[in-house]
This record gives sequence, structure tokens and C-alpha cells, in this order.
Amino acid sequence: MKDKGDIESKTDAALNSLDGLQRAAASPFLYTKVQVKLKEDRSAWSALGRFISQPKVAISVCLILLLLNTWILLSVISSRVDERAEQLNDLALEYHFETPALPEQNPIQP
Amino acid sequence: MNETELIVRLQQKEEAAFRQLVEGWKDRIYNTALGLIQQAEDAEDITQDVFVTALGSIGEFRAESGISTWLYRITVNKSIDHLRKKKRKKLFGLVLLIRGKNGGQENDNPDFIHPGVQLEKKQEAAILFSAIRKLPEQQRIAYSLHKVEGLPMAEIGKILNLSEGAVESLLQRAKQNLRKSLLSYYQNNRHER
Repeated sequence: MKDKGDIESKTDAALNSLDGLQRAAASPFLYTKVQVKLKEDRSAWSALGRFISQPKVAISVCLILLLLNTWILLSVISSRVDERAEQLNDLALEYHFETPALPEQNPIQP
Repeated sequence: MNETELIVRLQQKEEAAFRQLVEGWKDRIYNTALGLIQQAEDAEDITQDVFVTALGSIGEFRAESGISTWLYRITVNKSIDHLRKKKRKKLFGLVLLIRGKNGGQENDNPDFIHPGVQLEKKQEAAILFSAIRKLPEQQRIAYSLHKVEGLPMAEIGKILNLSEGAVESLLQRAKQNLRKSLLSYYQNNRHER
């Protein structure tokens, strides 16, 4: 029982340990450090990074890539269809599967 | 110089205005970041990043919220991004460790003590900060802003885009979770202390 009361009081003490907390102070040279960071940030690569990460640029690039992919996919599919039709034609020619002409369809019986 | 004037001068990229912003706000930003990530060096890096971002996006700043809410919001977002990145790194380190490579050495700073804690409360505060690290993200942010930075619930609500009631409930749940966590800590360590 005494143990339980002890644990409760320690828990309360821990929960109240941030009462009266003083604000932590940043480095007195922070402004100089920020200035250095700003100069670094103005370099060409970071400018390029900032430009690409703009939502309108990023969305446009994604759309262009998507359209390009769709176009490539469609052209591959259509070229395959053409190739297949060509193969069938060749096969038909080789085995004389051409559609018979009209007089051949109704030959005159002797 | 009032806030509106300061914003106008910042938008005109006036160096004196920027210096005033940094000097006037650095401690608040640093203290907030430190409370959230519990790592002094990283908190300073985040503080610098906050001002770089603030200067870069001052042109888009609308005076709908005050400059304080805006800066606190940038700080919270940067700190949370940092914590998530650290968590991912830790996870990756763990994977490397399982695969037998040298990983999982990410410093989690288990004994963080905030420099503003009163001397006689340092031990309890270290245990409390360790319990805060285990809180869910939103509860951790709300509790830290309230207890470390001393912000009122209304201001926390503006920063997190939540109603005051929602913040109150977040704080309530945070306190309950912390109590549970601390009770189990003291129960497990009762013979050591």
C-alpha cells in the first residue's frame, strides 16, 4: 500500500516537473548562421530544386511523363497489331488462303 | 515597429527587418523545436531552417494568422518531418542490423534534460521527457507546445488547425497516457530507486 502511494507521488512529481520551466535560449550567433545558410541556399542546384518542387511545375512534369507513357504504350500496341496482320497476310499468301473471286465461289458445274 | 509594418518590410527583403525577426523570435522557435525533438544540435538546425523558410515564403504570407502562429506552424512541421526522417533511418538501421551490417546506431538521446528545468526537478523531468517521446504524434505536439513553450490552448488550436475543444481533449489524453507510462516505469524500477 505504502509502495503504491510512493509510486503515485513519484508519478505526480514527474508530471509536475515541467512547472516553472525556463525558455531555452538559442545561440547568440544564430543570425549569422542563418545568413550563411541563406547564401548556401541561393546556389544554382538549390534554385533548380526549388523550381522543380513548385507544385505547378511538379504536376506539369508528371502529366507530361504520363502522356508520354500513354503515347508510347499506344504506339507499341498498334505496331504489334500491324505486325500480326502482316504475318497473317504472309501465311495466307503462302497457303493460298486468299478470298476466292466471285466466279470461283460458284463454279459452273459441267 | 508593429507586426504589419514588419511583414511589409520583410516582403521588401529589408535586412534590418529580417534581423529583428530572427532576434525577436529565435528563443521561442528554438525552445519549441527543442521540446519537440529533444536534441539541442538538431533543434538549432531546425531553428535556422525555420527562418530560411520564413524569409523564402514571406511573399505568400497572408495576415489571416499572426506572425507567431505562422512561425510556430513552420517549426512544428519541420520538427515533425525531422522526427519522421529519424524514425525511418532508425527502421532502416534495424533492417541493416538484422541483416548483419552495422546499423541501428541512431542516437535516441535517452537522457534528454531541457536546460530550463529547475535543478531539483531534473531527474523527474528526464523521465517525463522519455515518456513524452512515446506519445502519439498529435498528443506529443500539443503537450510540448503547452508545457514546454507555455502556449495557451487557443494558440495551439490555431497552429494545428484544431478547435480549442480538440486541443483540450488531446492534452487530456496525453496526460492520461503519460500517467500510465510513468506508473509502469516506476513500478518496474521501484527497487532500483
